[in-house]
Amino acid sequence: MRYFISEKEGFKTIDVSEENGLFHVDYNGKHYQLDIERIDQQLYSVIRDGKVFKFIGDQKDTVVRILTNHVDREVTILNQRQKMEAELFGSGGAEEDLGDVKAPMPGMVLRVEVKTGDVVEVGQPLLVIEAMKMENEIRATKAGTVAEVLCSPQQAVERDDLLIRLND
Amino acid sequence: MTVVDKVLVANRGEIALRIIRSCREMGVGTVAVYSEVDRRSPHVLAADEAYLIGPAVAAQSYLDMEKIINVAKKSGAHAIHPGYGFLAENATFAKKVIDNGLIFIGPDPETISLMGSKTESRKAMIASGVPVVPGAKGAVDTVEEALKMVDGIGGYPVLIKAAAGGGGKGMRTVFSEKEFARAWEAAKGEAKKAFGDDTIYIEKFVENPKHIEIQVLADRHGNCVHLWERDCSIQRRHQKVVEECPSAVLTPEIREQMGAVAVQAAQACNYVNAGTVEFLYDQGKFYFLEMNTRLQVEHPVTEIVMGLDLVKEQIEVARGKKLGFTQEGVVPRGHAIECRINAEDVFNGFVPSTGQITYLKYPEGPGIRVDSGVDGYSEISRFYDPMVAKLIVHAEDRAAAIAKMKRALQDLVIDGISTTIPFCLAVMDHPNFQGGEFTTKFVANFWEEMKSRILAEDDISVVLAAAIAHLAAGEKRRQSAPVSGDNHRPAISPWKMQTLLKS
Repeated sequence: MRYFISEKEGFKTIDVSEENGLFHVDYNGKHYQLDIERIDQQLYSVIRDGKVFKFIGDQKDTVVRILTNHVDREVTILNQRQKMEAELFGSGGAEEDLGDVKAPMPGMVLRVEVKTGDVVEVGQPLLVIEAMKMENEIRATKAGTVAEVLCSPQQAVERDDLLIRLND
Repeated sequence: MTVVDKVLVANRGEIALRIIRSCREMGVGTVAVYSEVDRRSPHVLAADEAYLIGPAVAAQSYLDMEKIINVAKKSGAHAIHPGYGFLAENATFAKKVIDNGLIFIGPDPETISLMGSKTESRKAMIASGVPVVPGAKGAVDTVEEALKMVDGIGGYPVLIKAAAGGGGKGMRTVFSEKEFARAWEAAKGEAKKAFGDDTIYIEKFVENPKHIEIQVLADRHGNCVHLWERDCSIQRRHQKVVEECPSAVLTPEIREQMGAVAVQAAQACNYVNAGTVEFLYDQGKFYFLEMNTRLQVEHPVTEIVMGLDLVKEQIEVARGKKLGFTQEGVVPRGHAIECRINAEDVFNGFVPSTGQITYLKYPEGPGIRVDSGVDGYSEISRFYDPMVAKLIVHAEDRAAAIAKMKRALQDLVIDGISTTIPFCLAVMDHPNFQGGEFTTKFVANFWEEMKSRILAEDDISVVLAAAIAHLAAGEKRRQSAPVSGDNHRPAISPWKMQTLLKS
């Protein structure tokens, strides 16, 4: 079966077939033969060319998260139909940076360093969130103008809460 | 002899659990205290008795002196062990404990108070002949006065420092005379704002130091020994991540000097119980930094190499016993390394990572010790320290210990939160760490490059992800097949879609 990996530059094809737990995968001009055994909920053991390793994998819709060598990676995988839908509705490729500044962790807002209308540069501190006894400075990842400040000091925030909106 | 047969542990997480374990082995009863979010925490499950002391916010639970002392009295505990953090270096707490007829497992309140002040401890150390970073003896009033001192303390770079300072605030590094006046004003302003006190002094800036500390242990009978050093130079945000005993770079002569100076420092402040004297170390020279008047996070590497249990030693000292050995009896064996496993995203500025742990497996095998404060069912909350566990290994020499740590880190699996595991693994692999020639600048100097290497494109993850997706799609097809053959007809038929795409 042919699948498509959604990347910033577009789609890459990947071919997968399976028989009795033995997978054949063709990707980036290489052939992979993998014996994949599910050990526990999200834990898998792999034997490839005799070499054993394990990984954690779980899937939410079209996004598969893989944890190997202690590094987390997210891969967006589409089938033929999903790819066509994506192309049609323009949601293909990785998400664009919309200038939304979100809380990277739950915590409490200590200080907001900018106000609406401020022009900010990449790396400029925007606000400080306290979590786990530490002050965490949230910096601008893109340049722009502060369109809206949606939080205030002493406010408790959850992960991914929208804090500040930036315009180009 | 003072009776210490029941101990209240005024802490949580791995250190509370670690103290409880030693108490149990000694036949000493244990009393845990916990906040509302910690009912399920391992330290509560492990103790003989446990009492709720308040809400999650530490100020209303783990930092509430009255509540903790009341629990100690109500439960009939003889002594309180503060662990590290929270109330461990709070002289007021230590005094209250004693005033309530209980034993504080640690040094006297006067010692805690003296060593807790940057300028007072510096003065005391100078008076007793302990080398400190060259600098002004006390407050410096004007820029002119400060500029006159620069040559005498070894020239630039110079550190302008707030006397009341801490956490990097009110501090400026100056590399030349023309920057001096501006930096002076900035440091003064910041100090005034942060501490309400703009007293300033200057000292030589040690540019690329190692952080080396000496463990000391003293009883109430005038005996004080040092238990060699720990090298804790691998730090981020001025906090240690990797520690080892012994250091790869100390010669026996320098070790002996530093040990003697540490004992001298401890005796200068009438130190009793376990403590640590921290030094900046720069190519054979060393300077007193501060003394930590408590058991430290990284104490296990010393325990393993020295064959001691420092918590048991602390309790025996609190009982008024003499140390069971002299300096000659301190015999190291092999090499130990500790890695702190913190709930942090190392690829994103080491920001804290909270959440439910969904999978957890600790490494096993000879020479491996895990001091952990979480279990597979734990949720990492935003209220407390991000450290979830300490992984400690012991081997015959440093190279073998590095190899063992690598293996142990590879076997350790934690999912649901991000951790420092990939960082620690990369440190073990780094030639500068392996060569011993690393300083507190390690993260600043190397981490960006190490990070990009770890995060480099990796085809195998994509291949595994595709296999998982294929497996799931197959299961879905099998499940839906018997119900209706029509079940997975797409919302838009492929034919229609093709037509739309062409138009």
